[in-house]
Amino acid sequence: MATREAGKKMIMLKSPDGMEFEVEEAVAMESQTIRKMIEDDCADTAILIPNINSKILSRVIEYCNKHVPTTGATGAAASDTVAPAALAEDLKIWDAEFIKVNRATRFDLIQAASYLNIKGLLDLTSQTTIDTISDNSLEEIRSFLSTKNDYLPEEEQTIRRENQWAFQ
Amino acid sequence: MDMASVQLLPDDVLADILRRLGPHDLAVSRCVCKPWCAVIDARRMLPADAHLLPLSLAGFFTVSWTESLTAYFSRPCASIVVGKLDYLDTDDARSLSVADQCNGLVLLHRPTLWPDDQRVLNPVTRQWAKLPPYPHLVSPCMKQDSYQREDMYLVFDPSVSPHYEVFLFHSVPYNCYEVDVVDEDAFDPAVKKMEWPPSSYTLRVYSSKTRQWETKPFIREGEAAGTIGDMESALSPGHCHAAYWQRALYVHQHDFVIRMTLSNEKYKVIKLPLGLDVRTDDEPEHYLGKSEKGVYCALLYGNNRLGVRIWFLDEICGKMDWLLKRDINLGNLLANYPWKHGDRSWTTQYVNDEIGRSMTPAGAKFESDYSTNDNVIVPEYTVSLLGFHPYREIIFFRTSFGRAMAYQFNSSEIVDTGYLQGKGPHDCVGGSFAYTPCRMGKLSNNM
Repeated sequence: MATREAGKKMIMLKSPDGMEFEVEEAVAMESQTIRKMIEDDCADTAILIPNINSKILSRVIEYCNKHVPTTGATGAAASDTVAPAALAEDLKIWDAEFIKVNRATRFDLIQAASYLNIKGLLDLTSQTTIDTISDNSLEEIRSFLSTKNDYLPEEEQTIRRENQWAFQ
Repeated sequence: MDMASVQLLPDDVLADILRRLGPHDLAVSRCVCKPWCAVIDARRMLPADAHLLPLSLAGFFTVSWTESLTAYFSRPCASIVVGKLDYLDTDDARSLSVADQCNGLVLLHRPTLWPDDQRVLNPVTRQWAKLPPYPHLVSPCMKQDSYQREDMYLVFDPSVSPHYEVFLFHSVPYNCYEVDVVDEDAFDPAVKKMEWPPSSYTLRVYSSKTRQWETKPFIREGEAAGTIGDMESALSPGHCHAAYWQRALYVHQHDFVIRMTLSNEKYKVIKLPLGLDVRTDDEPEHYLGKSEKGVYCALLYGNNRLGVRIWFLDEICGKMDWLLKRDINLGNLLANYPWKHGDRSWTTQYVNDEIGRSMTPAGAKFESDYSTNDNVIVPEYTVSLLGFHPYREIIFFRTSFGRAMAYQFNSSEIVDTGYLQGKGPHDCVGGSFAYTPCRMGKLSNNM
């Protein structure tokens, strides 16, 4: 968790299960939702993040800490010495490690990224689902994503016909 | 325990994911389950409108005859932006030229380069794919195949398949006029007596599905167009356009059309219409294209090609008849034509030029060119064809002074569409391709 540094404004984030996270304002503002709250002056002492438990919220903060522009938490010195390309490569490797989670956690992270509106995190967490849909047949998509087919046979026929071009 | 389902995600979150999918994947996703369909439909993610399927004409890609310049001549209302082609990974975008188009995809090639470099581009999504080199084909009737011209055509029908195909045709062998010493063996009497097109016409076909070139023999039904000897002395026509209509590809070659049925790999020869009394002072020019009701053919003939005949290919009951729809004298129509482009003018943009100039109508310049010669068509005033409107009975022309116009079959009227600027007063259009934007079709190289 971030520690208080001179000149850095801190923000308190609260999860519904009572945990509090003190983060730099710049890190919290990776979330467009929180940014808007701060800019609209709705964030005086602490911001309650509903629906996101402490386990997931801590991971989200971990992600934002890593992805905040480098004048922030990682320190100015690092950005002076490391080339941007190397930084990007480093981030990619870090992301790949970060997303090695089970499916339930991944869906929780998707929800959190969606609610908090963190584009990078949403891209990262939803990519597996996107790939599943892009690379597989209808039946495989249903099976890989455990979605139940609730169409009656004749309904399915009709809807397939509406988008016939996608099935040939 | 890892059975968490996407179905547990709230609609807004699901929408956030689905929004990242292309039209093809969205269409499949609609069929996964009812909640997905509801999310996609409620947010209109998969619009059934013109931006998805190629249902509207946005402009024409034209290739200059004398300069290696590709222009995009577009309608003023088009919300589609076709920028310069500098996003293709080449340091020589200038030598890329348009070879064909079909339903929103454009086939690019480098006519000046060997080996050729072919790409398929979707100008709206800016996705493109580079084709692998095509296989060499030694034609059985030639000792050397160097005098056989090769033309490539693109087939893409997003209402049928997300994949496209490229068809490579070798044309009738001909005696190259520019070559002083003709290989005598190339035209021995036995070859001259051979039928063209051959009864089994081998095409090289690239499929984006398999990402491979294949050789496919197409079997002729009916008569050949003639013998190689008949066609030996004929001038090679300029760009031979093709039309795709209802799973058949129509390719102009020499003085006939080859109609390839893609489903059963058979083909038929259809003679081009000429009209008995066409006296040609200039070499006649045919343009084959798709329009409102099917396949059409236009013929420019006569002095300065100011005569235009337009036929419709009537295919009822399998007979192939050319029905004459219009015989127009553009000279009369243009003589007193008040050029008034106003603010509905189309614009010209050079897409492969380093400078990338965007042209706005230069009406004033045009008027000054003409002020000395009020009501008379100047002798150099010739016309080239830009092509047919793919969905309405309209044909587009360009005069040698760069005025572009649309002729509507129904009203028999011409409409000024502005100024398609060339590189000089006599710069002709070498090839022209109607462009109907489409967001479908995945192209892989730059994804």
